[in-house]
Amino acid sequence: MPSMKVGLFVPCYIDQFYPQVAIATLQLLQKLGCDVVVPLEQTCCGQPLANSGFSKLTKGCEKNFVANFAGVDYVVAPSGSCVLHIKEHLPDGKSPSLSTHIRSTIYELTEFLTDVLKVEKLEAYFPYKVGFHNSCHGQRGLGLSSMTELNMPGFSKPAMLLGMVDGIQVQLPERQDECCGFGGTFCVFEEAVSVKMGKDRIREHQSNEVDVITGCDVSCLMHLEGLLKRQGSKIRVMHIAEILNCQ
Amino acid sequence: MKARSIILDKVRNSKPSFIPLDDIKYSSMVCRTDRNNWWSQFRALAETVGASVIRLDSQHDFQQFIDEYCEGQAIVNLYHHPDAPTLMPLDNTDLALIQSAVMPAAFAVAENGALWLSEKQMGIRVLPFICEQLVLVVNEREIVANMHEAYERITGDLEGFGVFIAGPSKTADIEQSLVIGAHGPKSLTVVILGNGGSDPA
Amino acid sequence: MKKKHAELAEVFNADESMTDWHDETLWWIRQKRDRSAHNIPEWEQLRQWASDIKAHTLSNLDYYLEEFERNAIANGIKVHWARDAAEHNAIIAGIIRENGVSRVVKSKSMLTEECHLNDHLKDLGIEVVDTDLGERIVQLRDEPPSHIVLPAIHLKKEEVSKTFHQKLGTELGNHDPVYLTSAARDHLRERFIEAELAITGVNFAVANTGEFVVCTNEGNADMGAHLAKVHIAAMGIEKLIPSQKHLGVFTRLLARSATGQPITAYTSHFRTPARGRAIHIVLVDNGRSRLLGQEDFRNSLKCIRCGACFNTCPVYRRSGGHSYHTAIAGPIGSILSPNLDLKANADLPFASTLCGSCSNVCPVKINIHEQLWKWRQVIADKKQFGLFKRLSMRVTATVLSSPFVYRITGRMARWVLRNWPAMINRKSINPWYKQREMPEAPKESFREWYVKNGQL
Repeated sequence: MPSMKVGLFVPCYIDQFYPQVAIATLQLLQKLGCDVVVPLEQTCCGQPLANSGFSKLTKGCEKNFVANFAGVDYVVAPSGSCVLHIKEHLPDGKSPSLSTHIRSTIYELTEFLTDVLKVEKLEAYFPYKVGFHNSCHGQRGLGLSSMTELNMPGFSKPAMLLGMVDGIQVQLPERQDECCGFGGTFCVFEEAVSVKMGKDRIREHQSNEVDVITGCDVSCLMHLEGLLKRQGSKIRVMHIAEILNCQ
Repeated sequence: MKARSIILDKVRNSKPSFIPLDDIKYSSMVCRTDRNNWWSQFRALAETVGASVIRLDSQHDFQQFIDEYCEGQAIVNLYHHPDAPTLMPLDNTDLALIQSAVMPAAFAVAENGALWLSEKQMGIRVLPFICEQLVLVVNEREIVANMHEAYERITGDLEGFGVFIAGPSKTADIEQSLVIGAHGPKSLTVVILGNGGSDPA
Repeated sequence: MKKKHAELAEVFNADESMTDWHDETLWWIRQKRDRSAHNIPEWEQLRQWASDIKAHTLSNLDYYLEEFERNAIANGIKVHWARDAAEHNAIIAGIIRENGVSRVVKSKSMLTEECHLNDHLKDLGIEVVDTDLGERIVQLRDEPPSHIVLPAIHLKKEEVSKTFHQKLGTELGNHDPVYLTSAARDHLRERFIEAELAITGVNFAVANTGEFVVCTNEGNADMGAHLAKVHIAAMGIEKLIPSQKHLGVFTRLLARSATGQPITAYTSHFRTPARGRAIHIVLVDNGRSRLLGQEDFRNSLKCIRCGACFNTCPVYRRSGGHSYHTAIAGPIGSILSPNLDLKANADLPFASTLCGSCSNVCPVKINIHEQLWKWRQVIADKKQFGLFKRLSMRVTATVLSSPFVYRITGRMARWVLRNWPAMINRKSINPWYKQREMPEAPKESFREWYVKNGQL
């Protein structure tokens, strides 16, 4: 396979708080033969501002984003939510062709692995019981898996990849695609409901006796991790890239 | 009429440019089950929504059923006496005393267990709603697959009122516990008149 | 100042077992909806048709309104037009007065809730009895409905029993729903028999026949409308559909989406008044034409009020209808209410995680979660936020626009979290920390790691 130039988009909070997720993503993509570029001047996609109603303040983020990711074949990020934001809201700005190119070639990590790299096997070993959390923006926004509301055949790109990992046991919670309650600034402005939603997700994973909760969005996992730690739970959270990269 | 012209003007000025509408081509749909299964589908659905369904093969059986079913009750039988309501002027209080009403239904709908009645079949509009027990009689030839076909049959029916009835009156407004007989009939019996029976009125 | 959704939701969540019950009850209805929808192989096609029919109708709404009016008048129905809630209420009060009527029954109509008709009539000394069981329950408690399809879903049977004991004299402590429903049936039957005028809502109005359709499970709309001499049907102007055959699409979607039933127990088609009776229709705008003029929000006029978005919404299920402080709660209410009063309802588009489940269950394919996002932009543009929030957003924007400032700020934030956590880990200033731990702050950001180790 001719090596393709992939720009690794590391969302701001992953850069600052979950570097191990970005490292796993980088290593995984390299293992699979990609020529990974990490633009060093990247910051944030602007989603936190836009989802709060301030999309007019995101021009700086967008300009910076386009400048950093011009010239790669694909942009890949370990976050469905940030990818969806770029896909839906990155405006044409001063360089329409660049923006259009980015919007149409940006991928969330798992869909990049299944749809572009067409990965069929992985050298990965993870001997644990894992609960999978479907993040809403990945699932309903990007279509990473089928949705229970719709009358459509079942599929899941992330679950397909997890299925290639040796030793793993994957479990879905009873409500397999209910939101965890993170929701960006929702998690602080609607603290009570956000926490209750998260606690309910955790309860279902707990009843499945999982060791780890994983998913394609660190934001959901960060919220669930905050709750798990406060509860003193033994369940850990890990991004799917960390599991797929585990040997 | 001031409000009328103001609203229409606002609508005219606000509406988007015209969006054409294609014909609904439901006949190409996958849902059209085998005609032979329609009655079994109807029966299953009608029972799901709380009706009891019986099939009777002759007028004699039907008459016998009515006699037994309605014994000793205040009953209005529009199937056999379509003029009954006009012969007896009833006020609201009288109507509320009617225990059973028997009336023909024009046709049944397989996909949801509903039956169509128009005004001429119910005599008095409130009758199928106010009686305690409702019996609807439908000929076994009169069934359609789904609501698209149902409306095809109704088109051109210029009655003043018509209703699809699916099961008895029900509510689940208290803790989602299903209770039959919220206001109207506490039971719905659907009689399917088989080959031997004559057409409903 | 009225309390906002977040505060009211916090109060709702104070009783966790009640929140669980509310959530599970509505989730159960969502599951019934799923089973019902998944049993129809052409379900997604039906949704598309419904959406297309509504889009077409809205694009030609003035024509269809006039066609409907013409046909309804030919059918012997009296047609009235109301620009807003006040006109709607005045027209209905006028009809009641003209007929010299004092006993009025009303079946469920979210439009009359939107217009606060009951309060208006009460002020005029006219008593209206709501006849839908759920609506009667909340009316006896002097509360608004908390759900457009299940008005009393926020109440447990013990509370209903208490209310009925006080107001209808039922046995104290008898909580059996069958017993309570039967008591309500007897109580309401008297009201039906005495009623001189009945008010109903409208589910669909058909332009080419001048008829309108009302769907209920209880049969209360029919009991009222057929027993009373005068029937007033109130409808928003968006309830129109072009022709009768389109009812085939909507009647397949409505009940399945609402409760998972294949169809409501009664789907009643009113075309002409019965002999000696009168039917009035009130066509109400109340902000709808304004919504029609806004491309981003126009689609919300497709709504058929099935309530599916309520039942699937993880926020609604865990905050209850009253936390939305509007007649129509839930996700659809959060995109309709800002159009009626932006300032009072500026909190509602934020009462969502934008998970998108609402748009997926919507039988007419309204892009509800996208409209929530768009309302947020309108709210920010119109400066509906306090100065502090606006300033903090500006600061955030400045930080995130400059790679250098972003890196410095990130490093500082991580340093503070590691070395001085007490500054951030305070429940009084940090809502995150109330019930969640902060993420661990690593010494190195990814970028810092990458610069050192990445390009090996």
